[in-house]
Amino acid sequence: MSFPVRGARRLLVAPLVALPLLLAGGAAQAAPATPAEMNLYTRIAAVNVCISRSAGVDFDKAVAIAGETIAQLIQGQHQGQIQQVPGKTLTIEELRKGSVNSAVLGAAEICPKSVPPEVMKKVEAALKQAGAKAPAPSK
Amino acid sequence: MAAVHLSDYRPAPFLLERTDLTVQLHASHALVEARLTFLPNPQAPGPGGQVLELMGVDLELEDLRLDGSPLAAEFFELQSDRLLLTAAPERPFVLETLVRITPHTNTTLEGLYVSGGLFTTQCEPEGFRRITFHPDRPDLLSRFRVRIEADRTTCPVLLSNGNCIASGDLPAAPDGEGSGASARHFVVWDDPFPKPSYLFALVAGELEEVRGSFTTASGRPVSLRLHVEPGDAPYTAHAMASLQRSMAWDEQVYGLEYDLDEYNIVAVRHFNMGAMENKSLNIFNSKLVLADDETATDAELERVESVIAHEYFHNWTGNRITCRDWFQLSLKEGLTVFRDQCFSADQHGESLNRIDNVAMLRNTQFREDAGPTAHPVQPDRYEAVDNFYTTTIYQKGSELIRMLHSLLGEDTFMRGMAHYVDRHDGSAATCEDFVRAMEEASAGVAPAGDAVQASFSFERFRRWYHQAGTAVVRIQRHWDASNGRLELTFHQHTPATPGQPHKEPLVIPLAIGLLDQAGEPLLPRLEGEDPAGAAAATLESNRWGRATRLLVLEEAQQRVVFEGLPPQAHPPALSLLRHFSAPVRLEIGRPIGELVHLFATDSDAFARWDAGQQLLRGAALARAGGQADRALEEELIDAFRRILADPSLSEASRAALLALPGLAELEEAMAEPDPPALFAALLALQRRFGEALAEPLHQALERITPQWPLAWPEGSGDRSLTGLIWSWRVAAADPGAIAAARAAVEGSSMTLARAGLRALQCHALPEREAALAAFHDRWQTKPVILDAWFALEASAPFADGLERVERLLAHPCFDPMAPNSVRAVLGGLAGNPPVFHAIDGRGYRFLADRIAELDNRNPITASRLAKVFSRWRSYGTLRSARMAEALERLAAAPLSPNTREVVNQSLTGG
Repeated sequence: MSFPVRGARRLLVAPLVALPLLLAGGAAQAAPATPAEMNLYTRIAAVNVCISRSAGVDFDKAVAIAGETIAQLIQGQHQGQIQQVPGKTLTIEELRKGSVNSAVLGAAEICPKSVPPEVMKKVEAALKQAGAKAPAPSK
Repeated sequence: MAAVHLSDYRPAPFLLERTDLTVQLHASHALVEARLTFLPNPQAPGPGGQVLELMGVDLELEDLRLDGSPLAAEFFELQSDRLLLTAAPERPFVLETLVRITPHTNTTLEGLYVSGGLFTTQCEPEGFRRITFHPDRPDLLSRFRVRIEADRTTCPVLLSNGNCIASGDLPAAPDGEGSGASARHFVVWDDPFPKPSYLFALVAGELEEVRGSFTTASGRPVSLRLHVEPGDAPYTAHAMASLQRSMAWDEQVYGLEYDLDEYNIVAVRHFNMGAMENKSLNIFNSKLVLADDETATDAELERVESVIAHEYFHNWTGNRITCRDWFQLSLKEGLTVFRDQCFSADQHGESLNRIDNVAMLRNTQFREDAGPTAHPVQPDRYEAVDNFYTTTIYQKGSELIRMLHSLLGEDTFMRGMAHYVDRHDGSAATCEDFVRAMEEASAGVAPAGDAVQASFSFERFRRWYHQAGTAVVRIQRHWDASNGRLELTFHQHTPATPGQPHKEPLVIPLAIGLLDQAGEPLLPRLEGEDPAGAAAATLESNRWGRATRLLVLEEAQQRVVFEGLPPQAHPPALSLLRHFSAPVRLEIGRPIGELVHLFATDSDAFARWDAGQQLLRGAALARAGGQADRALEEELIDAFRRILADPSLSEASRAALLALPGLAELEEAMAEPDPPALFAALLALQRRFGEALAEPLHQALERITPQWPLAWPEGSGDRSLTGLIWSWRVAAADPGAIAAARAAVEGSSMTLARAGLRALQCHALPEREAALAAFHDRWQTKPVILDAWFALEASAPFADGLERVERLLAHPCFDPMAPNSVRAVLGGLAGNPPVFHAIDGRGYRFLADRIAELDNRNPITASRLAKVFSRWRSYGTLRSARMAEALERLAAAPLSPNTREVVNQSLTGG
């Protein structure tokens, strides 16, 4: 016979619980998003697109959700400010557009097979125009 | 309830040759006809005129016959829990009974009961007596033939142990059930292997079947079938593959083949335990069968694999060789846990599995061993045997087998196993039988082979089975810098436990390594030994780390001297208890610098991790005490930075090395545990590390995110580390981590979804609420998954914690009859320090009242939950008083024997 639950497994996140409202102060700060933070958000958005696609979610929907999450995040946590765009508060529409583009570009790099061919063509064309290297072909 | 003592064991007066059952299942009740074929036991003591004792609980006796004739009232006595034949014949005889039972109202989940419309059984340890009158003792093995009759529409599938030998239609039941002549049907199952009654199983209902196959090493095909509720078949592939891997492993490693043509597993929602190894018809808690990448975390997938393996391995260690009485429970469970741990290690790596198992042992079994319910691996008395399904019997029992393996070496151990199987196959054995087989193998009684790895006294080793408590080894060292000579003095003692004030010295295998200042291993050469001999005595480095020496401690005080070490000012760093060679606590003053050195360089993965855990424990305890140790935390941050950048480490190893210690373990290290303070300390450490290591954590996340989509076991280390990073970075208020954790709930990886929820769990953020709501909405139709949501909500550390729990208990998806759900909510509350341990005692009272309610319907689950109060004395004046009040409140309620025993032990100290 086996136990119904196992005790402590690999205790990666040891306490399951923590202090309430701890982040209240931190969340209220409104420093512009740094390039490192933007880079991370982009990666997260891209990976979420890849995961959603592997679960059979429509590409446009996957990109829209990932982009929206990041746009809301930048607006909520950084009041729409990004260090790379100094002195400007971006509107939610501007953030959405940028986030969706970032998610598409990231997905094209990480999981190109998940990106529809016509979108890949546009990505490649855009990157060519910008003088960047096209994403590596999928394995 | 009267206590049962090991010393009272007597062989049964009658052997049981056959158990023939006919079970008629109806919409409101079941009728069970039993035909038991007895014969006098030549080994039973005493003259004739024996009383035959048949156990029976909640049975309505309708007929009783001896050799075909009704039994007159003066020849039997019907008591509340048994039927006594006061003058049983001193010759072979057949006893027939007919009883009526009501599975639909059986909420204990023992015996025959209904779960979601499915008839199912749980007979270990004493559930069979709820099905029919029977001796129901594990040392009586009989051949079972079982005929099941039921309505074809509601119960199209009828299963029991062994092979299906007949099936067909029945005429309509006289009470009008069914609408036509073929509404009822029957199936007959025959099990050719004699077995004790606790291995009996019966399942009837509407089930979907998933088929697989396995061909044994000798070429015999075995049909593998998983039976699940309709719609659940897509979630069974992992379980099926796990079963096939287990079967192959047992053949390759132990040479043990499966012995029947059919192997069935049924998944049941309402199940008290994890799974049950009934011969050829395993019954599983559905959470341990239904699992894939999208619906289960990596840890859950690994757990499913290990439990499937565990139950399969029982076919030999438990079923073919069963236990003589329940005092020998660890004979089958400790040994089979050892086997499933070895299987998991072979599948996924030795080191990390060992670390996992030790973390679990320290957080659960060590705690049990230090409390009022402490008991030996082989207890000598019990009131409710259900209360002995403990981590001591299982995990510590497994550690005893592991120590034998370490002391004897692989070859001798395997010879001992073969010897044990040969001698006891088809019988009921004892823990002593197992140890004796090992002793004989090492002494050459069994077929000759290699020498044992270390010499030791078996007589002293046996004390491990009889002494409760966690042994402590205190180590003093003296370093002779000019001669390169290291003297170690070991003092061992085992603290007093309830009923055992004095303990004797144990055989403790202590694996040790010595490291120079560059982290390179030094040859541990004992005094008077030549270098070649010392080198030959070191253990294999892939398991133990480089240049490991196995010392055997057998005396209360023992001195060991190493010589030939480089003369230098600093002594070599001591790498102790490598691979966790014994389930003991060490006491040794090792400076922080030495632990940091070991944490950075030790080649033994466990000892390296353990050095880090000691540093982390120090940091957490300092914070819980109100004063952060900044210098220690800086050392840890530096060490973590190196670990995050170390290209030689896997992501899984990185995640293990960075993991914070468990709360239970930290409580044990405090004189007066203050759980809310410890909990705050751990969070503060997460925030500190999350802030200080922002950059390397970001880099690590960038490196590992592309591996997220890989299917288990691939990518599991990456996902583990991701969860840790999210928790630390969310604690440090990183908006990116908050967003990522929130987004993960929508993704296709359950591991990442749950990691995201855990990271957000304790923070009053809109993202937390959104994530939990999204998780609930997505999985509300899947009870197995929704239990995780219940657990998270119940452990929300907010001021309205108890109100949340009340709302959860009234939630439309909460199933009060499902132990998984009950454990999720009430267990979640018990694991929520700020709410459960609130100083006003509300949390204690609330849980005590819920346990009393639960005990009415499910004593097994209730008594296990009641153990959260067992350590009440240790929590400081105020909390102890409040906890004692709650225990008294519980004690005043009408309780089952199971919960009564736990409550009494807790109140009286044992």
